[in-house]
Amino acid sequence: MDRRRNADVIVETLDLAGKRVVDVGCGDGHLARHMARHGAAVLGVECSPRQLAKARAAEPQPGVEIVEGVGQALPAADASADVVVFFNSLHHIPPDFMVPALAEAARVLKPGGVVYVSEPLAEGVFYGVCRPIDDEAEVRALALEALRHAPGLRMVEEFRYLHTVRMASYEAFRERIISANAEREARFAVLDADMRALFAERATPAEDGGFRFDQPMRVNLLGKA
Amino acid sequence: MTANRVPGIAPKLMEILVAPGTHAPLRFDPERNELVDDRAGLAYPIRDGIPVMLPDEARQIDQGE
Repeated sequence: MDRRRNADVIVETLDLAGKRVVDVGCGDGHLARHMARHGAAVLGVECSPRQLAKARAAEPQPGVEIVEGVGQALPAADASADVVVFFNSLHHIPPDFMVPALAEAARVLKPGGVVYVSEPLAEGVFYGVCRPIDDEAEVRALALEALRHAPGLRMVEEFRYLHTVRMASYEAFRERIISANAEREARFAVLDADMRALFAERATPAEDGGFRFDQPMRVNLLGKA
Repeated sequence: MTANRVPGIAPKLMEILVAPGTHAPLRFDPERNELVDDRAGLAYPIRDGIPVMLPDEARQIDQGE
């Protein structure tokens, strides 16, 4: 599997210059800002209060607007986006809303547009480290199943690569994992000693003093059916 | 949204922003700092610069307001 960076893969796969993008589950907006630096106008949609607080605190980037909202009721007009991105977000949508969220992506997509869905596979070192807190194997499988039954969309391409997750410290790791889902904070409190040991055991020390973990990724590109 | 400029929000993105569910166009109310769906009579707040595009969080506009 090729080793590539998530942020590189998306800008190398999509032609973003002058494009209008809806970033569903944009988190703190880092990828939205990255796409805007590559010429896109990005509407980011996020529902996690913790992520929205980080998005508010971030340096504003021209061409990025972040709103509070949910994937199954996108606040975007019909056929208004060249690209709809789900970056590591589809599996965080409640299972009953995964297919409706993809139907919404199909609705807002222009003819000829692309839906870019990036998901971490339920395998690899980083998955193993996160697993005691929240085993995402089932929701990631459900996300793939939803992609295969996405109304109004057809699968165009699928590829995989190996991403390197970088964490400055155990605390940074904990914060990142809690950001997506606040209920995980209680799990971390219960498992603190075990998690510190697991983190230390699986981490590869990085040149900058931080830590690296391999995480295999899958990207699916879909077009309008 | 084409006639309404919202401070700080790129016109290119305001063009595509609509009410969730109804997909109705939105009008910016600068006095209340809300995005208004006149058809449904709902006003979506803008909190700390982030429009809250959730029907549950929208304010029902009073008759005659």
